[in-house]
Amino acid sequence: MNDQPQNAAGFAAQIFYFIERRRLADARRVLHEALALYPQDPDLLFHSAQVDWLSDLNQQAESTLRQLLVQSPEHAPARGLLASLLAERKEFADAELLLIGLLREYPENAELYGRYSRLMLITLHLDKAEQLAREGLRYDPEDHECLLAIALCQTARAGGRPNEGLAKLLQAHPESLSAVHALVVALVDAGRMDEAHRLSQDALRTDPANEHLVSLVRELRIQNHWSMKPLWPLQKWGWGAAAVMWIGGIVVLRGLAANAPAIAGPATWVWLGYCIYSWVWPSLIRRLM
Amino acid sequence: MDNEELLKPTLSGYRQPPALYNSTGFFLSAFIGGPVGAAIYGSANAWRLGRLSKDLPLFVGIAAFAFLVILELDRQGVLGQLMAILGVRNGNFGIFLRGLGLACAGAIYFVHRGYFRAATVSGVTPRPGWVPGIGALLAGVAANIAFVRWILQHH
Repeated sequence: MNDQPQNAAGFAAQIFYFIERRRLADARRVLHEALALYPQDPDLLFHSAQVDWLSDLNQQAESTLRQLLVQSPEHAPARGLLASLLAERKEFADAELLLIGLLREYPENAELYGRYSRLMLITLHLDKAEQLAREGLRYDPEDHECLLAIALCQTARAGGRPNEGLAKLLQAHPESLSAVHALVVALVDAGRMDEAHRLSQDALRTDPANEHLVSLVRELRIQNHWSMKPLWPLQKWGWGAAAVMWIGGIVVLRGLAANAPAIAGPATWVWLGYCIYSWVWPSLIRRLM
Repeated sequence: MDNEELLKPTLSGYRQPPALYNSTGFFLSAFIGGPVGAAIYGSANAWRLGRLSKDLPLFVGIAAFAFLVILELDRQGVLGQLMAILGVRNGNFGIFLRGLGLACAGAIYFVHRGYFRAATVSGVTPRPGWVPGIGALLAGVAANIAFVRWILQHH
């Protein structure tokens, strides 16, 4: 990959090679050279935007994409990347219109259905997200984006119950980080913090530079810390457990005060201590760890 | 839903992106503000989800039903018996209003369950709930005080 390319397509292939391997400094170096020779080449401009996007320089990426789309309005990868950028900026309606435009041109592209499905999921439209993912799977039953989307939709519906969508994703793409991510989400949802923590740690070993995984492992390490174990009912059943804890606590303590006043005092202190612990400790441990 | 229906824009109709307010605010509004607190916070969520006109009558109905339950229990003398068992001073309706507030929050959560679940699995950060929370809390506490005064006057 060190030979000097002879044309813009050769440069684009070399840059893509570096982007795929996340060698962004090398990609940027070749881009600098290539854009000096072919400043208007659509694919080079697209890769330039891609490198900026992967380097979190979203504003620069967007301005390059808009420049590219003025000269080549049909450039599908650029429109797809612009949709991702707009979604990251929470301009969901514009991102949706771009994805719909692409789907009308490529109606059998399963990956686009998967991406649209994920957009619907983050804008909380669970039913449409699931239908889009199912539609995409009709065109490609093993499409990664659609399988991930359907796994997340089914996790949302199933809670801790067996999840067929997740099983299919893990069978089709056991190596993918998205599959691991979906599995971790399902395990956390089912209150299985220990397994979720171990799985995300394994994933982090294979991709130590992944910032999302680093924060996920940190959060799960906190959730799985021994000092959080007394709070497991609240972790597992969330606000339902909190409601039972408060109303149940008040009722039981009132009953004890009326019928067994000798143990009502200590029980009240234990209950109050637990309530304060459940409020204070989770935020305190996040600062300490 | 056919393919044409599936490719119809969904998000263009929203003035702002659909989102949910923080769940802690929901819990506290229901716990302290009772049924009215839960209904107001739930309505704020419905507004952010672009379905307020659909949900508002239902949430008003849920809150009204909760108050009717207390009235009916009081009329039949069950409330007095419960107060005696729990050792609660006669006329102290606080625990019942809190319990029914949380029950109302549960019912409203059930209506919005799909949205809450989608937010959980997609890792969407909820919006801070200070503004609807404080509004729900104040209105809920005022409604609870008014209701208790009214019920004591007609006892």
